[in-house]
Amino acid sequence: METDQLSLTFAALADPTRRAILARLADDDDEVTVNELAQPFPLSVQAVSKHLKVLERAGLITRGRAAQRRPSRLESAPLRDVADWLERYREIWEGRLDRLARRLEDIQGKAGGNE
Amino acid sequence: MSDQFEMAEHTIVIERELDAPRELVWRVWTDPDEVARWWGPEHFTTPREKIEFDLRPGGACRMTMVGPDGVEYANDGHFGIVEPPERLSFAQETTDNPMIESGETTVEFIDLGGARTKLVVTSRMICAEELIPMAHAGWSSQLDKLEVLLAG
Repeated sequence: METDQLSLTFAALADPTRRAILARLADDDDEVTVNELAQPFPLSVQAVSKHLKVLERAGLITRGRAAQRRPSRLESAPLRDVADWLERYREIWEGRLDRLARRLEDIQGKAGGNE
Repeated sequence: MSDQFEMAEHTIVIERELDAPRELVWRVWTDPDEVARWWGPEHFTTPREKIEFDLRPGGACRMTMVGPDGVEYANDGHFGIVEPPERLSFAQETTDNPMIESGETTVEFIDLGGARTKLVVTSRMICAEELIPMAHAGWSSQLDKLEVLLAG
């Protein structure tokens, strides 16, 4: 996944209301209309529509064409990329410890392996 | 609903054995001059002038990482446990990612004898709760099922 797309996904996920909308869509077997999505929130339908636009741009949801209802559904691929990203934290640490090991070798004037 | 949104924990544990005496490993981990040389992460730098350590419990632990594109990522936090040369912990109150609210890292320096040291790094992240099930393997298949369901 391109970094730009991942940034877009993260930006979309940065808002708790949008995350709650996604959680709602993940729970639901079917497409959900704006009105249904707006119900649990202290927000207007217009405000929820705005959030849906952000989620749609980030590829996290798709929306039906039906003019009035425009039902939303969850797209799983970007969420999987986020999960992968979290696992990359481990890789960041592994790389960091590789460099620490090399630094310790340099200080001690040793040659050879990484550990 | 949004104000009921809860954060959850995600923990990773990484162990590494190093060919260096424990006191040296401690120093390289806690001296900003040294930290600037290895902290990274990959393709990032952590310039010496952007590291501020006040190495005592509650003392400041600030590191700004600079990405390959020059973008700066501030990590501001405090040291928790400072027990040279055995245990160190530091908490981050700000992170570079909107989904990760904060994190706490504990490092154990275990003397293996013969000038060898084992590090155990435990990094606990407080994340948006949806990230946790997503991070678990089961979630992908769950979403796959959902996809099939939606497609059908």
